Amino acid sequence: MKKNNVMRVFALMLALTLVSVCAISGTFAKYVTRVSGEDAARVAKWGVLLTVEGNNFGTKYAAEDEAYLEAGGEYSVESYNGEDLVVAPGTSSDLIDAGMTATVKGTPEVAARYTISGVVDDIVLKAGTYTDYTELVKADDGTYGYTKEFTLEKDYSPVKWNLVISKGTTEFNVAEDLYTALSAYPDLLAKAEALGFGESGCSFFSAIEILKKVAGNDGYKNIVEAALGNVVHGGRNFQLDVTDDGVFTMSYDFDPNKEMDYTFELSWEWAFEQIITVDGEEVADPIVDAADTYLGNVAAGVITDDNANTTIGAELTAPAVQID
Amino acid sequence: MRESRARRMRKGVRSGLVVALILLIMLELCSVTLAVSHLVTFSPVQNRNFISLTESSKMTKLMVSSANGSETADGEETSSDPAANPGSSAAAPSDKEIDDPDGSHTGLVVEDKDQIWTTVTDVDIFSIRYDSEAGHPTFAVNSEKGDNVFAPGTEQAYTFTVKNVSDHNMKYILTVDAYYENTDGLWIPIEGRLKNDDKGYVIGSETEWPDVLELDGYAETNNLSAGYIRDYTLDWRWPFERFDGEGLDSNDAYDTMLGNLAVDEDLSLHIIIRIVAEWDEEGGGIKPIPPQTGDYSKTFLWGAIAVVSLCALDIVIWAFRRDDDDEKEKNGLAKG
Repeated sequence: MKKNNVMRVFALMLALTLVSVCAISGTFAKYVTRVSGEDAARVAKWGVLLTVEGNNFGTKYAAEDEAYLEAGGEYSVESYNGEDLVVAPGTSSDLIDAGMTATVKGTPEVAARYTISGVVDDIVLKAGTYTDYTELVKADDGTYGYTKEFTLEKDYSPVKWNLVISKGTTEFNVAEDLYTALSAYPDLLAKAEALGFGESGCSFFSAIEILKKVAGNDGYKNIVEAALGNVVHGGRNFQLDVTDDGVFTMSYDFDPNKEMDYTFELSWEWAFEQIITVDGEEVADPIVDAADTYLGNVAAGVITDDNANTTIGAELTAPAVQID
Repeated sequence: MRESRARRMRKGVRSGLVVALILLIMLELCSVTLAVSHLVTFSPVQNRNFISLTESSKMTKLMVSSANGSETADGEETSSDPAANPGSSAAAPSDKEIDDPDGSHTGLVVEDKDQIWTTVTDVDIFSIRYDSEAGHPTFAVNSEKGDNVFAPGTEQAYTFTVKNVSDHNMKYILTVDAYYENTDGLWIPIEGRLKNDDKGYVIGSETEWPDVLELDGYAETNNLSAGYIRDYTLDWRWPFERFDGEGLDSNDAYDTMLGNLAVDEDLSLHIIIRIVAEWDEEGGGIKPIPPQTGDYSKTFLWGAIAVVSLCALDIVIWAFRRDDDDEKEKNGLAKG
């Protein structure tokens, strides 16, 4: 009988426990609010890799004259000590498979501005009248001397610089493609040609200067952006400028996540001769020959002239920076 | 005489067993109750992150008093909470009311411009993209994969509001966790501040931007009167150019290094803001609250106590019955 009582008490307590558990635990749970707000983020990717390499000039350049080559000649230009880097009429960076190259590669998650700028120390013979050393002239008294002169109407810079921008197999040759782009505007093209802008006869420095002169700043920008469209896709705010000091700057802004994979090659050429038409015949421009010869004599130290600069050099810098 | 002493002893043991039985039953009841209460996860009504403390009327009004209020820079009036300023008078709910027609908001609500916080809420302290200052290009920073990022020059302010939509004073604890992941000890130059519209800047100041990790471990206990709100603003920035430390060039180089490392590794910053609120009927501090919704930390302890006390209960009942049987046996022998 007592056993039954104990079991009854136990069963009663168990039932009470279950009832109170349901009642009290619910009550406890309703006294506290717990909320949280959280967020996380990571550092945005940069990962833009730049390179600048190459050498524009050589100590010697292979000859192209067949007779000279058949006679056993090998180089048409060679520095006297085999160390100095030299240039001369008829040489180019292509001849020695050289050229300065800058590359930019990356797909950053931030807006970026890629700038390539170059400082060029160019060979120049300033406008003026100079002695013509291409021809010895016999005087009335029977003596020979360099008595003829030639006159340069404007500064003469024999080396034509060019910049080629390429992405994959697509490339933009600044001097040549600007000429092609300008062909869409015959009036502007005629004015530009009158100033010396030719299909392949003009340094890109001159090309830009002439283009700005004939098209104005806005027109120039439109022409350049139209010409560049296929090469630099996804960029904006293109800038290409040159200064009288021989500094060129090209920059382009890229939106976040736009792939940058470009190669910029700076090349040069000193034409052996410039062909002009005289009385219906194509002949080498004697003034250009005279100017080249004069510069060669200054370089040799035969003559001294402060109006002549006979050193050449180029330096490229290519920073990429984040845009705020 | 000897027999009566033995009977008294048995009676004493029996009484002891009864007391032990009652105590153990009470212990069992308490421990099971606590264990189960831990296991009961709060299910907010309509996913709201508040708990009903009182019966809500059909319309709950959130009121902001202009009489006690101060005007913010943009002209919006905010409350001067008497619960935070014990000397002040009670709220005068007259000027600004935020209607809650469905009457679902009762208790403490935390919200930002986009959502009401729930137990775990993804909030927008960081962004996927950030506008450029010049407008060209449109975005200065844009995540490749659609996840949140930060970079030099980015900054953001995140504002959230604690609202007491009950008719009681509420107390709450706000804590902040901030930590980096995958940085391998590298410092990331992000700075952060936390502002409470009642106290002003609690981390940093108008002109000072401490390291964002100074937010980590911040805790404040605060009161909020019925019908009042309190805004918090957490803002962070990664200065575009830093002239401190090693100088601009070195700092740029360091930032660039972080950006390059980020190509292969997610160098991430986590910020968690937690708010635990409790209705304090007496207006005192927050009481110790062992059974917390969704808190599983002591469930095992309470469960273990329940099991042990149940075993002890069985032993006592067994001893009780044995004592009873002994007595019966003795009585039988005596009769025999």
